[in-house]
Amino acid sequence: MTEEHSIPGPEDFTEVMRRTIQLVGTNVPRSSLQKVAEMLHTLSWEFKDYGVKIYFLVDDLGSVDCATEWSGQVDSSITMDASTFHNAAYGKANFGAAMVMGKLQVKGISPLKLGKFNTLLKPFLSSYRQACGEWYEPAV
Amino acid sequence: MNQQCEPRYLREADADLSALENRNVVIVGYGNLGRPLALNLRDSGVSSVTVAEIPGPAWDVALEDGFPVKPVQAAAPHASILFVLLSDELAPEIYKKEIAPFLITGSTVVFASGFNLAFGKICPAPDLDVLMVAPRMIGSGIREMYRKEIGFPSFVSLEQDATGNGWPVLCALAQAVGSLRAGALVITAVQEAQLDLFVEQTVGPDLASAILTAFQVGVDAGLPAEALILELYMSGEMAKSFQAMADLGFFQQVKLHGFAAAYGGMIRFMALERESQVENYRKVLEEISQGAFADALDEEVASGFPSQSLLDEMLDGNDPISQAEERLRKHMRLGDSNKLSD
Repeated sequence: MTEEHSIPGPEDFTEVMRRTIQLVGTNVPRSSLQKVAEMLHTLSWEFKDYGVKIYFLVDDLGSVDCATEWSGQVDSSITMDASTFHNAAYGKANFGAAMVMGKLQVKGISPLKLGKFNTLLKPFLSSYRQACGEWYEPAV
Repeated sequence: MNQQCEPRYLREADADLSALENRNVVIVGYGNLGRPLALNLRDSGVSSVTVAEIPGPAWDVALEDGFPVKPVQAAAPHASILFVLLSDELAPEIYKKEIAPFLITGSTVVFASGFNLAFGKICPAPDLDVLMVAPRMIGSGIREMYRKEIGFPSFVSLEQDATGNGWPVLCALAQAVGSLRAGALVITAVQEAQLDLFVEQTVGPDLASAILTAFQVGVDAGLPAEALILELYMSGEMAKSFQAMADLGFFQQVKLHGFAAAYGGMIRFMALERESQVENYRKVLEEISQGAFADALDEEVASGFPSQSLLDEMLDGNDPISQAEERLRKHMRLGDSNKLSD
């Protein structure tokens, strides 16, 4: 686990998540992202406590993009507090327990596809840690 | 595979244990089901019971219990009756590689779950008898009910009768494992698999959701977490209510509760929006019966169990409800009735 950073404020958090999604696009193999695209093209990350909504977009070729506003179809959504996501990224919480306690809701994913979807969650966490690292300790 | 259309009940009078005389029984898998079934068979007088396992804790337990233990490939050729008591997702590979090539013509294969037969994951050779004895009881209960001479219900099926002698063997096995004192219902493996999965994937998650939601809402409103779980399940009152459903009837057990409880339950039940639940349950059953769930499970296994980590996270005890249980157990004597016995 990398050095823990404190959770960014709402505005900074949006930028860190934007960078997180970019990093997912480079950290996750293209073939895996193509499989994700078979399941969804638009995934909305919704952080209730911060009032932040950010969209993960992936096309059939596995190219990833990010948007803070989106008027098209949203295939799936993940809703939680930013603090839950941040704590999960740094090993102080986990998505499984958050789901059990109703602190994390996933919508729009067929239960029969959840196994595949789960493989996408961990890269988001590692990419977020990387993005936090870059945010707090920018390369000079 | 045979399709049995008319439900039929089996009782002790239908069974003649002589159908098991001089037959070597092999139990593949000495786990939650394998151990109680093997012990019950032996205590019923089935003299030749061998356990087939891989070296490890289950192997050691079987030895301690006094059974001869062999690797699967070594035990299978000597089986005239072989129980496949492996988890549904692992059984096909083991059956294909370590059991099927070694079975002798005319032997009997017994499954405790219809899953792999129903979805074509295991297709036993046509020269074998294929039976299903599927207890409707957890492993510890199988042993406990046998020892109390109460028995436990099962679904049973004669899926393939190559020898023409499958039926008496099915009845004798259902008796010897301890089921027929309670009774067994004859249904097909397909029906058993659909029933099992359907209830696990509808009532199971809804119950879990109801309990977790009540806990969450109650805690948020300031009710003590320990008191909530005591009320919800730790006291055993809920379990007694479920037992009363079995003993008295689903609706009759309501009369065991006071009027306020019955009235409150009735008006809240009437206010529930059940259409979406009906729709969801139908979809789940359709996905199960069409094999979509079995295919998803196959993919999960083939991909190296990607959902396992999420499941582990859910069950690792790092949650408020598990923590409240721990605190409660320190101060109250609870749950002894659930302790596993030999």
